[in-house]
Amino acid sequence: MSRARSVSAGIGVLVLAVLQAACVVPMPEDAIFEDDATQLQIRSIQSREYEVTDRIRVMRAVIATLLDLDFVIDEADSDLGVITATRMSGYLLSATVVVTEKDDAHLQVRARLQTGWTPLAGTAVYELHASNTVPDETYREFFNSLGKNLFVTSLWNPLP
Amino acid sequence: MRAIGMSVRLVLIIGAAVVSTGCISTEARLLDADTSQVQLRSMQVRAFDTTDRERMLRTVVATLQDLGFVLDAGEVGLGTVSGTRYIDTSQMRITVSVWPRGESQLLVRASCELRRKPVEDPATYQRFFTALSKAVFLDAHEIE
Amino acid sequence: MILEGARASTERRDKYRSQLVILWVVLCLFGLGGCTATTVQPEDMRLTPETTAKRQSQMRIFDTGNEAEVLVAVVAVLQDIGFLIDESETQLGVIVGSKERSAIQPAEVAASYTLAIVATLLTGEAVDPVYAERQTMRVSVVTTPVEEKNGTAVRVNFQRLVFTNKGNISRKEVLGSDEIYQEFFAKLSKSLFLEAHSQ
Repeated sequence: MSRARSVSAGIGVLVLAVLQAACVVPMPEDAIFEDDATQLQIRSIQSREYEVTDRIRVMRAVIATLLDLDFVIDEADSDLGVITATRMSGYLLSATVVVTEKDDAHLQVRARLQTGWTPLAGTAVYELHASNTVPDETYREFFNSLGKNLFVTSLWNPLP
Repeated sequence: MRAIGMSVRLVLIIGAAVVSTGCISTEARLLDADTSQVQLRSMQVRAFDTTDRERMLRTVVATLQDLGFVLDAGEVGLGTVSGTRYIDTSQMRITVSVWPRGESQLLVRASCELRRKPVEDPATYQRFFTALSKAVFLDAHEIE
Repeated sequence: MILEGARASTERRDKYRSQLVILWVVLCLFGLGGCTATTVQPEDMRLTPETTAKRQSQMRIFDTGNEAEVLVAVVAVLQDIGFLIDESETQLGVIVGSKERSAIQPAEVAASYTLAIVATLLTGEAVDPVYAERQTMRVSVVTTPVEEKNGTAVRVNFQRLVFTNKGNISRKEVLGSDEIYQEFFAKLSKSLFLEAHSQ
C-alpha cells in the first residue's frame, strides 16, 4: 500500500520536474531564398495599397491599429516609413510595417508578422519554443483593422 | 526517513515565514511605487543656472560619448538622449533628459541601469554630473 | 519489541510520504511551468468592442495643440516612474521605454525551493528550483493631434516579459488596469499643468 503511494508520489514529482525543465527545441531556420512565384504570393498577402498620399497619416493609423491590438511599439522611423512593434499576450509576436510610396496617388503598406522573438532594447529575445508560421488569415484581419482606423474620419467614432 | 520529515518541516516553516511577508505587486513595480522616489530623485536630478536647453543637451551628448556611451535614442528637440555602454560583459544603459525649471534654471535627470538592474548608488550619478558640470562650466546643484 | 518498533517506524514513514504527496499537489498549483504552446490566432488581429473600451481606458485628451510639449512631459513622467527611453520619433508622436526590475515573489521562491528539495529527496537526482527572477517592463506612449478639439490625445500601452532564474521566459503579458492608466495620466496632467479628459 505504502509502496504504491510512494511510487505515485515519485512519478508525480518526476512529471513536475520535467514540466519545470527547459524544453529544448531546435529553432527552425527561415528559408532565405524563395522562388519568385512564392515571393509574389507572399507579397499579395502581406501588403495592401491605399489611395492615400499622406504617408504620416497612414503611419499614424498603423501605430493606432497596433496599439489597439495590444502591441507595444519598438521603433518608429518617419523618414524610412518603418514601424516595428511587439505583442506579448501569451506568445511573442513581432510586427514590422513599412509604408512606402507606390506611385503619385497610392501608398503601399507591407506588414511582416513573426512569432518567437522580439527586439528588446538592443538585443533580441527568443522563445525556446519558437513556433509556427503566421496564418494568412492573420494578415487579412490586420489589414481589415488598419482600414477601419485609416478611414474612420475621427478618432472618436465608435468602432463596429 | 526522519531526516526527510525534519527537512520538509524545516522548509515548510521557513516557507511560511517568508510567505507571511507578502507579495510585491506588479502594479507597484510598474509605477515604481515600491521605491523611495524622494531618495532616487535626489540622486538622479541636478539643477543648473542656465536656460540654454539645446546647448545643455549637446553637452550631455558629448559627455556621454566621452564616458564611453554609444547613443542609441533621443532627439535634441525632445530634450532627451539615451545610450548604452559595455565594459566586458556588463551593460550600462542611461537616459538623460533636460527640462526648464522656473525662469532661470534647467533640470537634468539621469536614469541608469547596470547589468539589467536599476542603479541605486549615488556615486554613479555623481560621477556623471561631475563630468557634465565640468563640460558645461556650470555648477550642478542638488535639489531638495 | 523489535517488531513493534519496526511497525511504528513504517507507520511514521507512511505518514511522511502522504504528507509529501499533499505538499506536492499544493505546490503544483503555483504553476511553475516550462513551455507555452499558444500562438497567434487571426482573431487576435481583429478590432472588437473590447478594443474600443480598452482604447478609452488607455487614452486621454489634453487641451493643448502643442504635441511637442506633451511629448516632453511624457518623457518626464516615464523617467519619474523609472523607465529608460529606448526610442522616440516626434514626427509620429512615439515614445518607447523599458525598465528592468526584479520579479521575485518571496512566496513563489519558497515554494519552488520546497518543491526542489522534495523532488531531490524522492528521486535521488538533484532538481533545481525554478522561479521568476527578473522582468523587463515596456511602455509605448503615442500622441495624436485632435484637430477638432484643438487638443492632443495621449495613449499608453504597457507589457512585460518575465524571466526565470534559469534565463527562460516564463510570462509574456500585457500590463495595466484602469487604476494604472489613471495614475499615469494624473502624473502627466501634473507635469503639464493641464487636465486630462477622457473623450
